[in-house]
Amino acid sequence: MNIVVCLKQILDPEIPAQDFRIDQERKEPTQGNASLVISPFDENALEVALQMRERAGEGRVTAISIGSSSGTLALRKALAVKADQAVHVAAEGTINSFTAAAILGAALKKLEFDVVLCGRQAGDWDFGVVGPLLAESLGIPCVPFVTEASYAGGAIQAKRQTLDGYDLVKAPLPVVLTVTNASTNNLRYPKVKDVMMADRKEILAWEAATLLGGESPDASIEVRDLFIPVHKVECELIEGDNATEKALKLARRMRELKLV
Amino acid sequence: MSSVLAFCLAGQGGVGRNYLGLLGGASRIATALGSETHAALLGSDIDAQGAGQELLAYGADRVFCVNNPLLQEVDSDVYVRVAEQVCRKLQPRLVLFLCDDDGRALAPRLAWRLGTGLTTDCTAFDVEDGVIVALKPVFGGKALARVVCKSQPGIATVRVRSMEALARDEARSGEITVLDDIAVDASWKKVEVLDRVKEEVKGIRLEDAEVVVSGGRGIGGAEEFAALHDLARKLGAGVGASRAAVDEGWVPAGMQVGLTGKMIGPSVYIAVGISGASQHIAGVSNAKNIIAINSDPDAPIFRYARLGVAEDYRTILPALGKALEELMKD
Amino acid sequence: MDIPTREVYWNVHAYVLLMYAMAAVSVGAFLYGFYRKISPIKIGAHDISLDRWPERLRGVYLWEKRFFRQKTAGFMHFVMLWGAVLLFLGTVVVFIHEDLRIRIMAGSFYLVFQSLILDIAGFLAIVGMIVALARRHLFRPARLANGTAADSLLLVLLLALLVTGFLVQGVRIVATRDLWGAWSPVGLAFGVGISPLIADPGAQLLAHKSLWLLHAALAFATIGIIPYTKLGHLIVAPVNVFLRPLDGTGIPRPIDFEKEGVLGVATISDFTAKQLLDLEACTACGRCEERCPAARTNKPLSPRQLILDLRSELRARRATGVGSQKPDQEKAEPAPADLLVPRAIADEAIWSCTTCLACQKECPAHIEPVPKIIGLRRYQVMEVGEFPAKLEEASNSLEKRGHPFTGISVSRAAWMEGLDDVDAHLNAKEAGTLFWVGCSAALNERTMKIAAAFYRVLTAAGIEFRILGTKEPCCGDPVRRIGNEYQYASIVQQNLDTFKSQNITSIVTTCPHCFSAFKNDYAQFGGNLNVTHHSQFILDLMRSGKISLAGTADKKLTYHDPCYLGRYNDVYEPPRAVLAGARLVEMPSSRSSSTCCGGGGGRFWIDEQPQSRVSYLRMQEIIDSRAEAVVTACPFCMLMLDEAAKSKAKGQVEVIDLAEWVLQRIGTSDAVPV
Repeated sequence: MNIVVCLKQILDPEIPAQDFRIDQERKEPTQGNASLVISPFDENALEVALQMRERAGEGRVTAISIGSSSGTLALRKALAVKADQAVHVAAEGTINSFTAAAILGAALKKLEFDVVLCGRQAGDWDFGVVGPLLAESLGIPCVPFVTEASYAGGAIQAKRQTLDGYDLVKAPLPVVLTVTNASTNNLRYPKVKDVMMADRKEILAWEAATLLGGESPDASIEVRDLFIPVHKVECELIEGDNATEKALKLARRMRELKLV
Repeated sequence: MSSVLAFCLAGQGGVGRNYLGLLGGASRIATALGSETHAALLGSDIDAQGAGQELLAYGADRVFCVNNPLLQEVDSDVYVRVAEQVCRKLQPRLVLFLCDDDGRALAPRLAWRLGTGLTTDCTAFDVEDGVIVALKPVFGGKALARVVCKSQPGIATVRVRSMEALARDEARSGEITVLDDIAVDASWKKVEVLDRVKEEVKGIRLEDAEVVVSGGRGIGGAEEFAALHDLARKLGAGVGASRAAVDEGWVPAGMQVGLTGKMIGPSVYIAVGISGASQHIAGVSNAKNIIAINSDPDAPIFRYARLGVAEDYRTILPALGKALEELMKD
Repeated sequence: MDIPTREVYWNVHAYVLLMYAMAAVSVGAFLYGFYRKISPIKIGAHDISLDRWPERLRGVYLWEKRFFRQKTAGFMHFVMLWGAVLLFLGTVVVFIHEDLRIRIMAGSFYLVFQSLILDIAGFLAIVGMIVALARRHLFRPARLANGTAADSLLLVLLLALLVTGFLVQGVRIVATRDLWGAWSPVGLAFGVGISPLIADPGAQLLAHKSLWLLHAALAFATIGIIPYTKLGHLIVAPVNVFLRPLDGTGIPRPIDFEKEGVLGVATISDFTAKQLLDLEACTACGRCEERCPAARTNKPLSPRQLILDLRSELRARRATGVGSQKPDQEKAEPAPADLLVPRAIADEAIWSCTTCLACQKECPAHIEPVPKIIGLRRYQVMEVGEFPAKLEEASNSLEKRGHPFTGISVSRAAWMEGLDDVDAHLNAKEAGTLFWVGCSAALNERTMKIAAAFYRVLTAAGIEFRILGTKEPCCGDPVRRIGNEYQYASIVQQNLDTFKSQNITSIVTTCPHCFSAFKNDYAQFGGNLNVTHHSQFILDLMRSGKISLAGTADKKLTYHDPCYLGRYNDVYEPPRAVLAGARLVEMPSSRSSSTCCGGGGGRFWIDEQPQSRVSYLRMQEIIDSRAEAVVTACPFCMLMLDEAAKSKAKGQVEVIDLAEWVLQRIGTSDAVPV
């Protein structure tokens, strides 16, 4: 079984609001001192991939990432948690979801794959479309919001999160799964030995332009403005000598404001 | 005449309340554009007249219904083909989906098929010089983007509860059309549901609750959520959680409130031991009042709260429950 | 008969050979026992060092100061130890006098030393043993609760040894009508006491003979069983003290990643020889447990139990012979059956440690539980990859964003807002001292006030200094204590490179964790930094007249010693000297017996149940001191105690940092002095 997991390297979503600035020219946040990290849901996807391989007792996990040539951090991390192979697709400039799906689709055609895993949405622009778009570009089904998956009898069984629980679904191969967070799929902590090994492993270097063969998919969307919203709520802090008094005062205020 | 088409994915059920908000949003955009509001109602065993009338009463000018037993479940592999046919037939200017699990799965695939662009999780739309500009929170809510779609139809998913439904007006009339030339083929269905597991959620459903008590990292453990359930029972409230509490495995994912969990808009949201990351706040941006209880007085949650108590919840919650009970007796 | 002396072996000349035979058996058993006890430590990597021996010897001499950290136990040990040493010397004197025929046992030396001093020493030792027995059976402090019958039996044996000794002496004095008998008042008293029973000279001779034989048998039995019983600590403890690591008590050793096979401690043989010797030096006295903040808050860690469990493991290995050979340099994967965690040591135990070092400062045998715990953590983190999720988060965050906190909303630039000349200090490439703020002070709304306060103090004193601002990374302390040495080593290397490239050699910081890291840990990686904690720096400023403090001291203060400032670096007095003008009350647990705030060793990141929070334990001690405010000198202590002050002390205790207290008194702040 060949599993491909798509990792996006993004600006740290934990960047404090105070440090979050926007480059109006590029309509992108400025990086400042913030780091680039693997998009959190992609980390969950990577963990699901590793678990699938473990459960099947066989299979290869390939991690793929698109970005500027320096951005191999996500792939090193994937190798450190024992992905078998890493592919870096070099592409310059801003890549929107449609272009990303096209590039990934072209790359996947060069790789063998049975299952493609993506995070449900990237922790930067929060579009959440690459997985479904990729499924369309490959002409294969897509199961969204998966928390766990395993390979059984030539098909994939996955837990798909629903509003009030989960569905256990069965999907044929090949398939795209988008992964959402659950307590079962936090990315494992790499062993030091594997981190050291990962630093020595080769990362396949491909070019987006070559993969696309001159075609450039037009996403037809344009970000006109990017700005930081201002919100102003004055919080009324309940004071008191002790917890009981504070609780009582809070209850009274809630009553006065007709909140109960 | 051009139209704004709102997809109502009914499946086997009726039209959920959230779709009325979507329809309200569609109607306002249509008014600004000077176009019609269309609703596409997709599902199985739909009472086309009954449900259609309801949609008309909430602002649709025309309702198109695709009724097919194969549409019993909202399966994106099947629905996307149906939606594609509907769009090609109706040629709308703008297509709207609700940004729930179904809309999220479906909208991008439709966009790919129609060769057009889309914007997801929009919270507002402006029409400027005839151009539709979608407002979309990005970077976990730290920024807002104004996005335009350069091709037609534009597709957007709309954040749940971000738009008000219009007032119900039974006097409104319009045409209800059952589209019976839309092909649906059983072979399109690729993904089979083997089992449907409902995780027992104590008390009131989050989405329906007028008051929600929600816990985060500060709660400290699965058992500790009992204190939140106690208060919720007294208030007739639902219980939610932040992503941190879900990732810890303290509560099921169904309780997660936030950008990637549930989007709720209760009139009172009591955030307990929740620091207030922007991703969480995104889930309650429609809450009317936030009350923050956090032992860290510097927690960002207080910036969003109307009332706040900087105190350990373990001492506050029981006392608060008791005090509220007594106040409510009067 | 004019020269005072006595006849050696009076009445027992016939048994001298028998005595030597017993001695031979006894010494043989003694030597074999110690060989058997000590030789298994060879399975550990060799790290026994005898360098700087005068300093080591001095440590052994000063050792007894540790006894007196507990008064009764201290007295008891003191009189028993010195009683044993003096009585042994007395035996040596006999040996020299009789066997080497160098007649020294005469004259005033005989009277004063050999008679009077030994007599008193023996008597005090008896008192000590009675105290020890009484403690065990009448007063029973909690830490002795799990003492065994064997422990008591040993005391009875020693008591019998001394009592028979005095009886032998007493009967001899009475029987020989010793002219100098009064120089042995205790022996004489025993003799006079027993004489009514043995008035007849024949009976006296017989009694003396039998008692002498009994005494000799007891004495040699005692010597023989030393290595097989807890008496072994008589020898192992001082040896262990002598061999103690001289630098950086409690600081883990670095790992050579090129050479090391298994990272951290997987099995008992992964400890070093000295660490294994520690295990044999333990008497299970429980002083460590009594001070351990984890044990005191009912967490599943007791340093004593940890050491005893490891010792059982070591002894089990000795019994089965497994691991008796020194492993190869390239170690194979440890056998699953040999893994210490969780079989012998509970997983939660190793993660309950705050690395506060209280156990080590308390241990009379200089046993070091903390580096052992870090060794065990290292294996779990670096080889197994499974450890508490909160600590994973902290380590991941440090890797991703250069600080160990998740979910924070504060910018690293925030603490500098509103301060004067920030840009000048940021760009002061040549200004000597670097004010290193540290993540814990920079990234929290409360603690950033500490950073700002110290900045203002430096500015008020007209000191030239520089800051790194938003470019300041983490010192790495959390990951080293958590056990990711690999991550730590790379952080240290990066920071040392930065310091070198920016010509930074002198650092002052408000965080004891950064302070201790730069001072002790970085030195292991070739760092040669002149590091000062702000308490020391402020004291220097005061002493050199660069700042002077004014303002009245209204509130009663107490001072909380941060572990990484006090126990790790012996900086106890500078903060107190700074606070000289305050109404300072000391808590009983202060200086080296201070109670941890609960935030060290990665515990800061773990949410503790309120009923078992270390910070609440400490807050209770602060409340009990009746102080209105507690001054501390560590941002971690600040955060832990601040929360405790709100929840536990209901806001009745104010928590302030030394820098804030000082700033309020040098007139650059509007705040009312505390």
